[in-house]
Amino acid sequence: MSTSTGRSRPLAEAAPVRPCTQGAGAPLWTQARAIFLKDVRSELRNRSALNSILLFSLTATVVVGFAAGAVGVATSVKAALLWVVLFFAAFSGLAHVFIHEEETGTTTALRLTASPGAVLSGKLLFNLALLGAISLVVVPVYMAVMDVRPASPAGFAAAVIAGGFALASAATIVGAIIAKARGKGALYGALGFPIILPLLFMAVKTTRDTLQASTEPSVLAQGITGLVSFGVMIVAASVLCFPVVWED
Amino acid sequence: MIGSNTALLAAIPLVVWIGVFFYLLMMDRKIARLERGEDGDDL
Amino acid sequence: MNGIAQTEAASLAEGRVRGLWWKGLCGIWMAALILAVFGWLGPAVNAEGQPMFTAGGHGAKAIFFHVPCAWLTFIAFLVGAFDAARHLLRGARPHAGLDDLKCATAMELGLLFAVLATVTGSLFSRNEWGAFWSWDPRQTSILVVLLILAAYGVLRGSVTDPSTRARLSSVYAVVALVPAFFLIWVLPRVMATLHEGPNQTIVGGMIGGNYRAVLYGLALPAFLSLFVWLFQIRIRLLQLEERAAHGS
Repeated sequence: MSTSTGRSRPLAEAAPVRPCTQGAGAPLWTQARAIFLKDVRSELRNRSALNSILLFSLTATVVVGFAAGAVGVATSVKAALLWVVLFFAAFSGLAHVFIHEEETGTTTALRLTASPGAVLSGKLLFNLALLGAISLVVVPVYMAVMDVRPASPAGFAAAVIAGGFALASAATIVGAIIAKARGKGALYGALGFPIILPLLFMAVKTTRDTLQASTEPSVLAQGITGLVSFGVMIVAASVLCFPVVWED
Repeated sequence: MIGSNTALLAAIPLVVWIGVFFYLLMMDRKIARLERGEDGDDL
Repeated sequence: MNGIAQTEAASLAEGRVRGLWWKGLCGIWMAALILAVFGWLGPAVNAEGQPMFTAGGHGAKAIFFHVPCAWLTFIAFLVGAFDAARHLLRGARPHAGLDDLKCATAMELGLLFAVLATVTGSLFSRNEWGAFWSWDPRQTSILVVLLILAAYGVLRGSVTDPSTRARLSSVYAVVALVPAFFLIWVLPRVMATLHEGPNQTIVGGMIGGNYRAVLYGLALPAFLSLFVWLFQIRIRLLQLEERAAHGS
């Protein structure tokens, strides 16, 4: 709806950049995978985000272990502290995937070439992979430092995976929001924390249940289901809202 | 606690509420005047 | 665009208050509530005539303030999320409707009532059970809603461009429905709560002396009408500000 007035205008004002709804004809999965691979390659080339999150998480683990480990804490505390570490891991680095685009000015190009759904899928997959990779390192270290021996190892793994899925999903959509808000670091955590608080409650409770031998499987299953449904609902909300966040 | 003190105990919050209530009414009237454009003041 | 229809403008006498009838009723209801609580309503007694809660049964009267504040917090949040969704569905154009302003107003009011509810709740908790805070799920959920509402305000404050601000804060409000759902419906059922006892006694009508009648018959309409009134005043103020700013 640009009008021609004969005056020269800044490029951004001259024609609004419309998000590409068809993605140049490529199916969603192809685009999403391409975006995912692009981000993976970019990350492998310059491992700044991975390194900083990893270092931060391991440091947090050591701090927690130092503060609590020598004293010997109850299982519920161990479960809680694990999720504190994972929360900080997620909310220190999972916005990178959007902020990086803003900082390097590639957002417009991405908006022109891919559909919003593909962008969200690709970035979400990347964040899931990133948090998964971080967890693969951090969780065993945590278990070693804090002497965590789950009564139900499969349940423990399931709780970490399900909770991690929900955590990464929430961190992705909030990261998208603050990237557009030119968010400074503190804003990311401040916005993300209230959103994931119920998730944290459930994750801590479920993890604690896996550490104790007295838990019934049905209770565990209920907890895992709760975590997964939280994640699914967040993803659903993200799918609905992300196009609005992404457009300019 | 119930007894002669009741009147005083009820009176304080009641007076406060009456004050708030009329304050809100005054605000409302002021806004209505501003909406009609009849009042030139800033709020 | 003028929000006042021609007929309404014509019927406005100088400074006449619209909806005076229900605002007057609000005044009466609240006054009646105060008189009831501080005056003729007796102490909370159970079926055997034993006083319940502290101060010989009078401590329970705090619920006539605390509970409506909590109700209003959740109502305000739902109104805000609803308006945010409308804003998004209408294409996120800030001047297509008032939705974003309504959302901001509702969230603001919600924050006020959330603070009141949390503070009164913890004072009552201190009186009753000795501790200000106990991580009771319902107590925590009002705190989390408080944090969500505060985060919403922080997000709004950090974005200067009005259309971006409206867009991003609407998305945040809608995404925040997911944790709100879990907080209100899922968590209190899954976890045991301090609230269970008082909830059942009041709602179940186990407190003699008309407590339930006063709560639902006086406190509810009083606070609801107050909320609508505050909302209406605030939104009209914001509209006036916008009109003044745009000189229309």
